[in-house]
Amino acid sequence: MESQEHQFVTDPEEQLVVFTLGEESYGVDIEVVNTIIRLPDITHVPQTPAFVEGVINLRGAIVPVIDLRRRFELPVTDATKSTRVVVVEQQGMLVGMIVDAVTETLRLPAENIEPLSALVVSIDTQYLRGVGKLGDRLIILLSLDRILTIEEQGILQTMGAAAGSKEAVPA
Amino acid sequence: MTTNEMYQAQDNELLSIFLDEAREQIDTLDQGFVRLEREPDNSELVQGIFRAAHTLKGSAGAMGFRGIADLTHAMEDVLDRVRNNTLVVNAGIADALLRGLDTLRGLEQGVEEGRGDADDGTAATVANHLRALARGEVVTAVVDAAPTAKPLDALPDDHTALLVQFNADCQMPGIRTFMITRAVEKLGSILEMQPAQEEIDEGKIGQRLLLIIQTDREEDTLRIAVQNVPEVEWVRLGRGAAAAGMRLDMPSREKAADESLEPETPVHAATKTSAVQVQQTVRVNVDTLDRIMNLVGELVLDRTRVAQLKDELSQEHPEDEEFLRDLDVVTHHLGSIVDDLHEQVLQTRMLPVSQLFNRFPRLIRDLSHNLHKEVDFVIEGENEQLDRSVIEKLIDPLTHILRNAMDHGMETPADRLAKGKPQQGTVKLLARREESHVLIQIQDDGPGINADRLKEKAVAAGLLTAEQASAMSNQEAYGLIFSSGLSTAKAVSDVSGRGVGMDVVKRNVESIGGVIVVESELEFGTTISLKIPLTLAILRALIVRIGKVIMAIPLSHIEEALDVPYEAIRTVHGRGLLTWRGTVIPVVRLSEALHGCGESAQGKELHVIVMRYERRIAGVVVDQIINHQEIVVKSLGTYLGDIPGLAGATILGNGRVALILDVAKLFDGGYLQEGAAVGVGHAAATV
Repeated sequence: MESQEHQFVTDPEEQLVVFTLGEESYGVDIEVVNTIIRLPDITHVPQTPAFVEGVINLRGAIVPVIDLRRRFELPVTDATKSTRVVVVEQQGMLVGMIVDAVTETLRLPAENIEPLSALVVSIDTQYLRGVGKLGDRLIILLSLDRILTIEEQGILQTMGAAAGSKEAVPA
Repeated sequence: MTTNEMYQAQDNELLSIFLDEAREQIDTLDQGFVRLEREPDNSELVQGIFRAAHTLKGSAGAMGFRGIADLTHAMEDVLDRVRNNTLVVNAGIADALLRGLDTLRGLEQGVEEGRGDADDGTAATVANHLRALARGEVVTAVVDAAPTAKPLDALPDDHTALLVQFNADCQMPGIRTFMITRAVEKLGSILEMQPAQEEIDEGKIGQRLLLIIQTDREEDTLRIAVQNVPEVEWVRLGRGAAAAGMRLDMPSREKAADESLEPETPVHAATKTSAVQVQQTVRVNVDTLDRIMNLVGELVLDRTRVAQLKDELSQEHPEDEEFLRDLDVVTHHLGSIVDDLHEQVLQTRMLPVSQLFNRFPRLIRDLSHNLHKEVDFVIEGENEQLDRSVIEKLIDPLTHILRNAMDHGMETPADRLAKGKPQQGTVKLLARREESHVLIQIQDDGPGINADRLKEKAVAAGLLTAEQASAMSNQEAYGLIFSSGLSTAKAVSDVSGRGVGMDVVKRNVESIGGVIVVESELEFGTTISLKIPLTLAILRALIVRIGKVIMAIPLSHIEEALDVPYEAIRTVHGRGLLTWRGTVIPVVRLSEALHGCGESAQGKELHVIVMRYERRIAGVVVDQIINHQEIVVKSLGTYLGDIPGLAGATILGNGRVALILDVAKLFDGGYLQEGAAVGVGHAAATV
């Protein structure tokens, strides 16, 4: 078995898909990435939390898409030419994540990965599992199962009815 | 495939044929026993039951399932006495037979699950009890044990098995056998015969004969030779591998298969080839059917998409006349083929509702015993057809409703007499096709539903305020039987009365797009009607836009789509009201009923869609009506889970995703009640 993404890294090397949100670079294990697409027409879904952007038609399957900026409570920006949807597969379900740009895939030796404690990053650390250093670059490693946790799904089911939070957010 | 694998595959095939037949026979017995109790003198019925038991015994024995065979044998002993009029069917005997049948089902289940028909002692006890009953009076009539029937293995290619059935009234099967062997010997050499010649000489021959011959002659030649012998009813041939599974006591296909197909060649009609008979039915895995259905669903969408592209193309390039004309022809042809295909695939998934209804006579019979009620159970329209998946989803709801009808919906015989009603009540279960729906009704002639008592209970349970209750019509009050935690049964019994169940019934019926309506009249009875769509997979919907949301509203719930001026909607106590066809109906903006649709248009004219759910009517305001099309219902997936107000999603002809409005939730979820009126306030948060 290859490394499970949520375990703390024990493999000698990880292969990552690297994308950006604002100034920072983030990495997810290439194993969980199903596909990367340009921003398609997204159908907005009411009764869901603000970070759920909607659903898309991915080769005949209906796939939910979340806005990672909203998920991480970063400032929301307009889509650009480089905006991409990284579709990941988690526990058999596909979920798309909107990111500013996908920059590269790279191999990261395990010894270059450090825990979070010594670092300052602009997003909630519960979504992260470490930081990779490559030369003078820092790549924040995402903990997908945290981003898409069961508790979050619970929120998805109840929040829409309770708060109706979307109206407050500029479209 | 190795030879071993081949045998293994054949064994599995045989086993699944056996199981199919066993289930069918057990069902026949089940319905038969229940009827027998009421019609103990119906000799035709007894014969039918006896035949089913006998066949089951034979095939179980042949497959080596001794447990099933022994138990069936014991039942057969009892039935034989009944058949000979030396034993009268009473409740005790019917009970014993039914208990035997339940045990039998357990054994059959074991075989199905790969555990075999091993017995924990129950079957032996039940069988002994049955045998004791059979011995109870006069002498035991020993059933002439049928000669052992072993199914054949595959034969070499130049071997052919011949199974011959003599007429039921054939007086001289021994002589006919002799004639057949003589005729066949002219065409090839006989290798094996069942029953064996010695057994035949002892008179041990029934109405069947199985021959294995080595011959290079055409199958039809053999067939005609045998059929020319008098008193031969039919003959079945199996050459080489096709002989596998044939056995002396295999059931006649006439009964099992579709009657119109006539898999057996009747005498003097020997023109069909045997190949045709084999190909007439094919057993298909249900998963395969489901996959085909999904693919056809996609095809239906693509057809719409292609038609749209064609329209776009003809607008952008009207000069390419010839090309467009060709494209038009192709698109039309494609469309009609896809429609045909769709219809045919739907047809393959259809089953008669008898598959559903046949399980209930037993339920009613047991309930009437347990509850000491006398009920005539009537079934009508069992030949109507429904999608397989729909039938599966209706088992539980109908069971619940019938339990309720027997428990709450039926008085004891004494009560009935005291009211001047016939002592025996009637419960009717009927199915009727109505356009694209099947109507299933459960009618009883019991005491009816007391709406006032129901309201009192609901108020006591805190489901309603006293004011709400008094404002409620009887019709609305009947709907309360579907609220959880409400039961009007005087005492909690093990049949019903715990107040759970009917809410589940409603949910189940609605989950398959059905509608459930209760009608009742005090002292005259209750009718529960289920309007069930023929199929689940594809529905017609109106596509609308609300803010940023594209939504599909099932046409089955839509009464009318109309444009009204803003002023036509009055706001009373925060509720939007519109006069529609002479009645006042509530109207809400869908963008306010559902959170987060985005900015909604505020024009002078409003697009109102009038929807009906059960007996309630309401309007919703949308920003734009796009078109209507056929949609394939898809799930929103586990990540989003169930979203209140949405029943799923679909992919439109243009490739975009549309959400499907959950009309039931909209009406029942409190969205229409208050605070969600046009231009006012906040949407209701009730979920």
